[in-house]
Amino acid sequence: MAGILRHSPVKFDLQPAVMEEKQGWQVVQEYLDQKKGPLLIDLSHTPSWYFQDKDLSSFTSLGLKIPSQNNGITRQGNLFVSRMNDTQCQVWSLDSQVPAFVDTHEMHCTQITDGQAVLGLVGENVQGIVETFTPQDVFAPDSEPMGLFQAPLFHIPCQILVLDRSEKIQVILIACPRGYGNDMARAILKSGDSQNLGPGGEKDFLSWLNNTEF
Amino acid sequence: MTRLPQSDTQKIDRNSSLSFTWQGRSFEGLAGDSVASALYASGIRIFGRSLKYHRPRGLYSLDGESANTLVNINGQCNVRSETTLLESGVRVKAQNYRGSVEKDQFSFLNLLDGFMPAGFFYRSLHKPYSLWPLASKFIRKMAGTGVLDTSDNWEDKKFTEIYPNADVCVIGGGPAGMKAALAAADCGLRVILLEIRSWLGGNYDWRVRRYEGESLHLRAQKLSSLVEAHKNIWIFRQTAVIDLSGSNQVTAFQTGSRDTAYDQRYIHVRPKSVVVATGAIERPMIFEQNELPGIMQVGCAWRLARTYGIMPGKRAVFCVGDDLGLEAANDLSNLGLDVKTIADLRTEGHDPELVRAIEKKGIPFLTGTIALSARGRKQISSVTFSSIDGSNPQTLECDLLVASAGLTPVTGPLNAAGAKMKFDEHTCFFLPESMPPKVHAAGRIMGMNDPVVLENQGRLAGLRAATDAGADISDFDLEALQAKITRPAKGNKIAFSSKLGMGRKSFVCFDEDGTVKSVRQSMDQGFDKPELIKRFGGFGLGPGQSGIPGHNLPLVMSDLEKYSSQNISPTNIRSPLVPILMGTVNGHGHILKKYTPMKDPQTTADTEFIRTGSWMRANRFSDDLDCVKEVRAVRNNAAIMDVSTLGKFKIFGPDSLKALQRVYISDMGRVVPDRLKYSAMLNTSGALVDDGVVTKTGENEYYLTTSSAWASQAESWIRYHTRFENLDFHMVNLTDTLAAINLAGPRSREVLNKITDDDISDSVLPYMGYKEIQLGDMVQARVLRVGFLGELSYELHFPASYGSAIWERLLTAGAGYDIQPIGLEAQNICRMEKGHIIIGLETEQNTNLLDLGLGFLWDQNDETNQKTGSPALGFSQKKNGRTKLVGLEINPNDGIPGDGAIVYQDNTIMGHVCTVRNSITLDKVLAMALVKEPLAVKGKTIHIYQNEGQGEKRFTATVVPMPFYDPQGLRLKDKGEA
Repeated sequence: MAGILRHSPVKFDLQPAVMEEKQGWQVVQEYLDQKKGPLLIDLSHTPSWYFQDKDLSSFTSLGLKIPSQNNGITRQGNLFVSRMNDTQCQVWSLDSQVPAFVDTHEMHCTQITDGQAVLGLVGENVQGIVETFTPQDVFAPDSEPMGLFQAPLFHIPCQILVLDRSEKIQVILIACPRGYGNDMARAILKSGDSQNLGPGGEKDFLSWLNNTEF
Repeated sequence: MTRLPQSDTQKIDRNSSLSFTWQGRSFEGLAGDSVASALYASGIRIFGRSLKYHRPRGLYSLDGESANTLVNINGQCNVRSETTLLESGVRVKAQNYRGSVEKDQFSFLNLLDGFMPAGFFYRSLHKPYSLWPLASKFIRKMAGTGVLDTSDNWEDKKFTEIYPNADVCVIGGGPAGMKAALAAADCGLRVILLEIRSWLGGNYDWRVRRYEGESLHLRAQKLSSLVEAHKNIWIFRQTAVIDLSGSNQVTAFQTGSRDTAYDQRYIHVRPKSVVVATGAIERPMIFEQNELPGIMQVGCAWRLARTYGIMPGKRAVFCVGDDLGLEAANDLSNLGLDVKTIADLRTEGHDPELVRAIEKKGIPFLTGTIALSARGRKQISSVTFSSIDGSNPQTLECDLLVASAGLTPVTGPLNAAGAKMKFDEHTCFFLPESMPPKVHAAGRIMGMNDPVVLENQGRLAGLRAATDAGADISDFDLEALQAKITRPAKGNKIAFSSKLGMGRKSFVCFDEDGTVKSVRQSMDQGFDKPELIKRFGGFGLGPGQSGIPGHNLPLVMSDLEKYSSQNISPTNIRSPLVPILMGTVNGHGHILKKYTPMKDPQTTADTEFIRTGSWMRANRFSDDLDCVKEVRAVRNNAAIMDVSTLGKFKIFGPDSLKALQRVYISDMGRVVPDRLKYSAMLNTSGALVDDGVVTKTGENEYYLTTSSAWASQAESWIRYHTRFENLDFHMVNLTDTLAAINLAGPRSREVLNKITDDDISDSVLPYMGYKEIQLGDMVQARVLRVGFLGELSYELHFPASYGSAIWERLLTAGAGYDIQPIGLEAQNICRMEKGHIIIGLETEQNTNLLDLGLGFLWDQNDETNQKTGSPALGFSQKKNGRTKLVGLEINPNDGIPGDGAIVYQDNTIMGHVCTVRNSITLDKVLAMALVKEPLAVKGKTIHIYQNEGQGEKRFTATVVPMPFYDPQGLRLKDKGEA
């Protein structure tokens, strides 16, 4: 059973050009005939964990920077923490590295990587694309630079993580229940078709991740 | 037709001609033309026939306010030619005629109005009742507008949707709307401006009259440029608002073209505040034959000339009710129209400057004068007008009658938002008594007409909307601005002359041929409210959405009955304010389905997937309805089934046991590590809502499963039933995180042993045991030894991303055991043979544990008596006559009834069959049924009835004990070789 591969729920109709294996996942870095952007990127391999406790501040001892407000997001390197409610936050390792403090045997920590399909929307005018499928005011000018929205997309409960609202490049993550992943990706691509949205590989996302200051 | 010389009010491109066909004949229009203007320029005067009387109808308003100009374009019926931009190559056809639109064979119906009084559809041809189905079919055939093309020959339409975000939404791009948008945008707010026409400008757009040294159309262009250049304003043109509902939710649709990514797109805006600046439309003047082709409203005639460069007629008479009518007559005369006479129903209040200009031209100008009747067969040939009281009648020949009783506000959005409208004596408009929260109105909708006032009121509304949206406007002097808004001009409520007569062909509603006579007849029937007459007589129910009759109906009623103004109430206008294509409402039409992680390896040419709840699941892997191969694999060898849809939860925290005790009916204190406890959740009525297994995975930590249907509700259910106790526990829904495969069959242990090195022998993992094992080097799995199918079974739960790989490994490992993937149908057969229930199939809304024979799950020693459903169960225990779940063996000669077939006795329904299948294992037709207690006796013969449109069928069956298969449970408890 060695070498068993993990599969993403999302499949794009493009031929991969460059692949990279990450913890059992075959992650497409770039597709043949990939558009210049904006891009919809399958990031379902992104490791993530729920941390739950009645006092979330207790996790700061692990080195986690917990957002002070619900629906807030903090960033430490390539580790992001989104606070879902008073007792629950989600830790996202966007460069796929597993941080040392994560201990899935500890009951307060639950790995939920496989439970979600994660889609990144990266590029210019992501706002225009988002407006084709949700009434959520994701890019309200007076909002914090990063933020979490918990709302239905196409009637499916989702999380939208706004990671970059700048004019040059906008980046959001959409996380939905894994089973809906492929249909969700198709629906977003269809909605964003008029804005030239196309599938993309992880490279463009990592490029943003590794080149942004925080 | 030759167009008028070019002017800067025109929207047409003379260098770009577009060809199109009308009734199969080829014509040319210009880019910028609407379909209606292109037809009119091509000499077409009859656009279609009316709904009831098949009267000829033509251009009337240019804004699509009536069904007059609905046409069929490229096979799509009921398209508004007035508001649809002409595109090259379109095929346009008239509607609702037999023969030709010019010589409609049904036009004789125009003479039969005496047989079609108001409400005749409700009153006539109903006796004898058997007549009505035929009569209604006939009426429907004779009447109507377009005919829906039900073939598949439709051109594909592109529908999209958009949810633009804004702080302020302005409805209407006229001067007031543009000023409101600019005011709010200057405060730094995001503004969305929705305009129904293809351009901004509203009533300024085509008017050359000068105000403060500048002609209005140039003023419109200037304002439009400012709005377009403002980075905070997002303009949606050709966008009709269909609703303004609570919480300021604005819905609209935008019409596109061949060059856009959509034909129509649905728009949904939820701004913080709204400005309604929808302006006003014209109120029709009512006289005999007031809808003949050649009779049109002021704006229609004026815009034909000014916007499209088309002279609307040759010899014109104007019958108007406000200064706009005079302005139009004067302007059209300047453009070369032969204006024979201008009749104004007002006796005072005329703009002296306009009157002087008219008199200077020598055009006869009559005041206190109104149209009485028009004549002509297919087009107007003359008009008779008189004083309001009918005196001094005179008749003039003409081919164009420009007629309008004045303006009436477009209050649809306000009405939809819940504003209560009241008749205003001064403006004679229905104006809002009070505004809904964070909704403001400005412009002609409030009776304003003076350009300076219009703009100031727009600006004021914009600033107020900005305040609602959180902007700081302390620098603005609102009171000073308010002071500049002077009282609007006095209006009039006259719609027709008192000498009109019966009004047999004096149309109040063009869409449904509703006349003054119909209003009288409705009132004679006792209907005394516009809302009632609207429905009884058919006024404003057509595609015009009350545009033409809207305010005239209550005014006509008031005039006929001499109501006081206090008693005049308008009809309600409801969403959609403008008709919208169903495809547009559907938008992208996304239907998202949920797939399990093992979808790909299960997909073969023979696999049948079905939708169960949100999931797509494999039902069968062949076309064999009895699933013989699949069932035999379960019973004889090994089978795998994708059960990833089962609810899977982690619950932890110091109070997690208390939470479980509350919602499960069993004593959950007895849940121990490495063992599974089967239990159930009940609702407060004691009815079963879910069942599943629970195990303890750590100190204060449990793992539980639920049925697939309950997976999405389980967490909220547990939280709801513990909501008052502030319990410290947490839950994680792992349903999507963990894939699940049920490996079942007598050889399943051998198969599993091939992909794990862990000990899974019966001594370590017995029936109802739980263990965490490793599959290969990488995959951690939970193994639950359950027996839903009645055989030795292992339910493997493991990270979903490994789903496909593990599925394929199991098939490979089981190849030597004839392993077979199975679907829902085989599962259904096997579990039914074993007598295992599925909630929703073997339960009804109030089926409880005792009814199902599952009373052993109930912890009756619970001293707190706080288990959800426990008190109700105690009550039910003492009650006789409930329904019971029983096993049935169907008479082999009777065939197989369907699931849901009725159980009856002495012509009384006594229950129903829940699941019935042909058991190839036991060679019998077996069923589980819920029956009344008296029938739930072993050996009892019961009768089953079925009629599902395929004829009556009756079956007999005998009540037999359950489970049908392996009653001692030896197979699922299989211990394997020692």
